[in-house]
Amino acid sequence: MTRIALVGNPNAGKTTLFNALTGLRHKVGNYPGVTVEIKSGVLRGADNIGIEIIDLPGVYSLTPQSPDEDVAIKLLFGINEVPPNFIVNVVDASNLERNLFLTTQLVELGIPMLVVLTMTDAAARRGLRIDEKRLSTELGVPVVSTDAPKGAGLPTLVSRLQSQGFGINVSPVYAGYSPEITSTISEICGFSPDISPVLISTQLVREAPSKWLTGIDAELIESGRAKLCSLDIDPSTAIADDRYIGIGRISARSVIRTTASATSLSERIDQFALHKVGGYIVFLAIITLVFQAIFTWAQIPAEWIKSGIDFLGVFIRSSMPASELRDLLIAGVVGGVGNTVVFLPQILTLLFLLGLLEDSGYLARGAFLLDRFMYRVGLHGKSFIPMLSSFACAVPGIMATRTIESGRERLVTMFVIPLIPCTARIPVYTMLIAAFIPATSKVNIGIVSLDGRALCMVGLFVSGIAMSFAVAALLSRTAMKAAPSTFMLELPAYKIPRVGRIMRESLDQAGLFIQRAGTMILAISIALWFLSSHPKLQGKSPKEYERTTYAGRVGTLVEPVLKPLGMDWKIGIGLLASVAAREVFVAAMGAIYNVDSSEDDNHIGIAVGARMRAEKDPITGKPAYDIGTGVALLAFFAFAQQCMSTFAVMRRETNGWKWPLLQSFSYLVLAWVAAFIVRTIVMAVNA
Amino acid sequence: MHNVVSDFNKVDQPAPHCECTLDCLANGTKGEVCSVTGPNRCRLAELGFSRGCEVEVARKSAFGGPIEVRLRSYRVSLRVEEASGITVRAVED
Repeated sequence: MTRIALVGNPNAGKTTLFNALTGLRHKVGNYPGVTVEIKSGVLRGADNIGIEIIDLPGVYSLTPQSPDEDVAIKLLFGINEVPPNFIVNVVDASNLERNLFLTTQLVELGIPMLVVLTMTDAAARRGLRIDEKRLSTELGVPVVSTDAPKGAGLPTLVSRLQSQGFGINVSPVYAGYSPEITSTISEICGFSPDISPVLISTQLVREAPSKWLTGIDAELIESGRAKLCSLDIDPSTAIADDRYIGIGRISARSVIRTTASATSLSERIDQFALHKVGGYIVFLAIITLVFQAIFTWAQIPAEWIKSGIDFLGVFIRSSMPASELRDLLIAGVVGGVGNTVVFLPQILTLLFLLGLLEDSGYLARGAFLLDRFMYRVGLHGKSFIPMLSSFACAVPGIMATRTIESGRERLVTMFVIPLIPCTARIPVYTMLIAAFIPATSKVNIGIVSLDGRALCMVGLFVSGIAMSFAVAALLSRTAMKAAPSTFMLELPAYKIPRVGRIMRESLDQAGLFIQRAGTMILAISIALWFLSSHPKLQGKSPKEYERTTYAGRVGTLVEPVLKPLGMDWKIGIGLLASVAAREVFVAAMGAIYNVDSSEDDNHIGIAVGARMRAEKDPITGKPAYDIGTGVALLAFFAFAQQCMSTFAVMRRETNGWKWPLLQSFSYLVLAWVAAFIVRTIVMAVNA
Repeated sequence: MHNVVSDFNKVDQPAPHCECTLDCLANGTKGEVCSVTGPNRCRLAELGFSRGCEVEVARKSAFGGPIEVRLRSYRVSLRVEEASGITVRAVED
């Protein structure tokens, strides 16, 4: 099968072109090593079944500096991979010179290629018109223009791809380097014939060669670099300097300068949106609006879903005879899965609004405005985007850290993300607050009287966010101390967000979330049902029996650790079950208490909470849990890393067990300590 | 045969007089890159901060935050730390 790789700078319009060429019928494939999703699709048109198009992550050059770039560049060099048959290089015409840096390197690869100019309208507004013919002559490969969003130039491009109208420039560009660099490159070529000049020139610029280079090649490059340094030439800048001299010449010959129109709309918006004072006001207003939408407006459809689920519970109860299966259906399926579905409106709203902000170009402005604060705690301006999406779910948040070039800042961001209050915590918080914080509780500050329950919810959110920054600051001052890293941010032009596409993508993601949570809750509910009712009762009183079940034995095992937090073995089982996912806790407690047989209330969250309140200590007969238990549990859930998906994605993204294990363990300790402190304080105040 | 990069050789030219770093330029002023240093010089050079390139400070943000720079018909934001590794010669408009 013929494979065509789409290659270009980030934001050059690659994905738009990819969608136009493949008609969105793409599949996302995970590539081995670091997981970076590479989309591939089949070229549109029935007679072209044999042409596969792959959309590589954006790169600025063939020198990798981030995991995304590493994957794309390895593929192009054919390292552990079959290189593509053809390259389509997407070039942003409004940013020609910088884009040509990559283009001139790609030309040297010797793979037949084609340059596609995008954003020619934006270039025209900046007073730049590109002579395609001339550019093609200069580069030695064909050049075509398209306007993918409007479809202009697409038929020409498609027929070019079908007829394989690509070109190879046979003259080696590297000949234009200064004599010292040229001789270093040809020397290395002489020693190792299977390493190409372009691979040498793109590796010489690195402080250390990429890990995927074979030993001998890496050594040759290191000695070449040392030789250049001894000649007082810094390859890291000198090679690029030389290349840009050539690019300047190409650009001077193929760009026709016309009069630029007045300041662009984006620049005018930025004068306000990035204003030293006004910018922060706009930012706060937008973020407030997002949270307002999640916690107020999204509640309306959430209520509808809740009543639907309650109705279903009543329906099953009235139409089925009492049995273990009925209990399982109501507590496990309706209660457990339903409890997750209730959060669908919130997740969808957050994903959709984030999509709008990202697509409009505003999120990059947020990164610009916040960088200084993020930098102080060892994070990156770009960390703000993954952290924001972690309010929905840590998994997409951790994956979104891939855009952070600096490995250290990316790691710190990934490390603190599980502390951000995600939507999976909300069902647990809601249940525990309703159960343990009295509805009448008030906190009086002067003349203002605040609702205790609302304050508790806000407190949980604030402490999660504050803790994530505190941990980031601590890490970057101790364990992950390093020199400050790159901050390079491009502010894309504002544009009208593509609402339909964002809607579709949010639905896809929310669907995955529900699917994952639903299946896991169901499986765990059933497993717990079994474990807490086996081995079968044999001449023991129910009280003795409970502890001899499989679940009871495990719960008893962890009980000593939980005693200081005011928790017993039953909560222990719930906490163990919620290691899989936090939201499982409610259904798990339901399964342990066999909720349905003892309670009339149909809403599982409240039923479980009420059941927890009613739980009696078998020896003293007093309530088993107090308000201290409640707040300890809340604090525990705020900080503990109870999420298998997060663990799995951390392992995948960091390529090892070290970080996910360290993360889970340190947050477990943090959660326990926090729970103990909070409980001690609350008990002292309540005494 | 079109050689994209000719034998143009700048190495022997004397370095122009460089009096300041990019972060010292005032908002709206221009400079010409003399040298790029620091751990990120490789990426900066690739992005177009090459010797002799004209750059303009387009926006300085509050609290000592990022600096937006205009160069080669595009804009990029850098931290003060990065900008201070780029020495420039101020250019009169």
